[in-house]
Amino acid sequence: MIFLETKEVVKQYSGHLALDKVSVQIPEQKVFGLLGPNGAGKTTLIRIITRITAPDYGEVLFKNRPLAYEDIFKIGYLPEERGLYKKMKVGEQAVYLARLKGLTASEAKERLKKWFEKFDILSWWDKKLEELSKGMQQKVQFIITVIHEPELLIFDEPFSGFDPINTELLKNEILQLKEQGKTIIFSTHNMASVEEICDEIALIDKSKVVLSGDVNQIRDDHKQHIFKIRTENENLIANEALCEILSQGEDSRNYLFRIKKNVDISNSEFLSNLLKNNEIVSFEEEIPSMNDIFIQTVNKTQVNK
Amino acid sequence: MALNSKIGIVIQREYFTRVKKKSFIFLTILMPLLFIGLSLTTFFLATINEGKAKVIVVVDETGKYFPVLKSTDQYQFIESKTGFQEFRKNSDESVYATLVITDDLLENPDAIMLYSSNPVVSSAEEAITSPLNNYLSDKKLESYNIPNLKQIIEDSKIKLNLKSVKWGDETGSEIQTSSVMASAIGMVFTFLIYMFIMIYGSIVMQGVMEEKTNRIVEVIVSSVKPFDLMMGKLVGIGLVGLTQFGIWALLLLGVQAGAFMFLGNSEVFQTINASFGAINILELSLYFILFFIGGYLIYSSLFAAIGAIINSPEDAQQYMMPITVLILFALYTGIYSAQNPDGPLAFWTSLFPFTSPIVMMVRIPYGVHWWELLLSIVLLFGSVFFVIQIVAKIYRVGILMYGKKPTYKELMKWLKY
Repeated sequence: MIFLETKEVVKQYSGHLALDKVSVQIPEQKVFGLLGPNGAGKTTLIRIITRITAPDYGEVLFKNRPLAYEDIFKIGYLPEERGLYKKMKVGEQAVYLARLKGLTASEAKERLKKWFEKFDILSWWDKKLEELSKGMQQKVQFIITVIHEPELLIFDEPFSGFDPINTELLKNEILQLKEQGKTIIFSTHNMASVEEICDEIALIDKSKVVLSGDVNQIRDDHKQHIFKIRTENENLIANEALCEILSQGEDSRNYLFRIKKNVDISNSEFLSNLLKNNEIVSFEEEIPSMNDIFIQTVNKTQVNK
Repeated sequence: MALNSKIGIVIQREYFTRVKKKSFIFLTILMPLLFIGLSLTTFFLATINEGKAKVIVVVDETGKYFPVLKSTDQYQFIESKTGFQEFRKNSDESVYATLVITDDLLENPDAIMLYSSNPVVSSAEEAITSPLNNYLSDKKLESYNIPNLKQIIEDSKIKLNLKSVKWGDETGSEIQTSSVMASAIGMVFTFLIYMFIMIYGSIVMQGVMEEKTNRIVEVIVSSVKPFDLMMGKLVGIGLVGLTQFGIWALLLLGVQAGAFMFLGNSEVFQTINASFGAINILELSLYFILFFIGGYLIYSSLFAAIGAIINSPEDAQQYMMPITVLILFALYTGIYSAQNPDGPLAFWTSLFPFTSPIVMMVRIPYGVHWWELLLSIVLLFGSVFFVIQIVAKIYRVGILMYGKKPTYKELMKWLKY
């Protein structure tokens, strides 16, 4: 089921088009990656989804009906540029922000204490925010985003400023939220985390969606038919019409080849052809990383321009 | 969730984080003490005399006038037996000035000269001329040889004791006004309202700017409408101002009650109390609060717009200029109006909403027609409503805009978003 959908959303800022007929579909209880280079329009789209700004044209559907003001309480948004009141005590401002999201003061306090304990920052409750390290501030901000248990969570670059240990902690929290049935929009440049976390993605470049769909499907679609094989023999005997050797090397045991399949046959047929003349130790197709796909797609749109 | 409760939560935060600050409590208590201390010091410094009387040497060749000059705390007259030229040679630091009288002053009024190596202050001239003038006019009168002439002239001087009395509008009862007291009280309230608008206006600006530059606003705006956030801030900070005024009013009442306990029967206290006369402090305070609310809202919403437009404190100056000019204009018209509270300038500026809160406070102690007050208040609050609508649009766009500071032309475009 589609949880949230934008239809042909257009947003124009004085002089430039920030979003050009952007349509995305965010499936329920999945992690949706919103990718794109800087200035592509990701933040604008998020601001439209969170109703901070209104689209010029197009509409946003929330559970198949137009997004309404009350819906923003079902959304938790962690902005990329984040900030809190520096001079205000951590606990006090967490309660304030939670109350703005519709919790009562006592409810807010109770939930916050639990989260603070979980993240091991309870002892900082009565400290001013400026006394906290950047990582701790990020934790506070994350807690505030999820405190009202919204159905939809939007994380804009959630891992920036975190050390590897805390990144892992946060990643697990996000996956746990998904298990609890939340729908998550995840905007990032970190492609490794996209492969780990996201189910579906949309790649926005130059105000347009240039690529979208299931992560595994996209990676399959972008396969270059390149294979890594290990053999016992120094030379790979293969018909040139069948494949082309891109590079070769050796390690202490085997010879390594990177080859490109040139004919339109299934992988097992291709392998059996190779097996005829060679002693194959291992055979593996290269699946392109999201990073490669990202760079490839963005470069392609730039060339087209 | 109801919309109003959101504003309520924002108001609570804006109010309590400021009121609970040590600096607020400290300043609120300290400011009146500082104010009283400063005025007392000035008063004290003005009244104390310089340690020693200044010496003025009198060279009186006629011998008639030296006895007339009486030494005071400030000036001591010493007769010189030696000639004037002699004195000039021997003059030393201890002599402030030398007065030389060479002829009968009735016949030759120019025969008097004051020599000094320093510029002579007017009080020294006064100490010399006023006794001599009296003496000379007495002598002149005597020279007419009319018996009791002095007495006759004295009797012919009728002293008018002009008390201005203003008829009450409805009851016809007479209200005695003391214009000195009225202008003093008007001035105090005018400065208070000016000060409050400036101080609390810039607090609003800083508050908005803090939220923008710290990017807190993105977190908040995803759960609160920008308009609610802005109104919550305006109201919350305004309440801080009223709280401060309230505390000062209580302190003043305390001082007055204390003074009544100790000085209740003394004449001084009675005179002070009487001089307040018909000026109703309670009524004035109510108008002050009303005009403060209006003036504060109209100016601080403009300050909020500036806070939303700019990205750093350095940019503030450019946009604050027009507002500062307007508010200073209001202050100066207010001061001027104290001398002519019913003049056309005072009349029109006390209706114009950007100056009325300040100018009206000068005029009220003198008494203002009820319809003028009503019109002024209606215009003020009507404009507040209008200005807030416009400011809200600028604010909404501004708080989420980063990068270069916008031009006035771009600001006009924001209004249409």
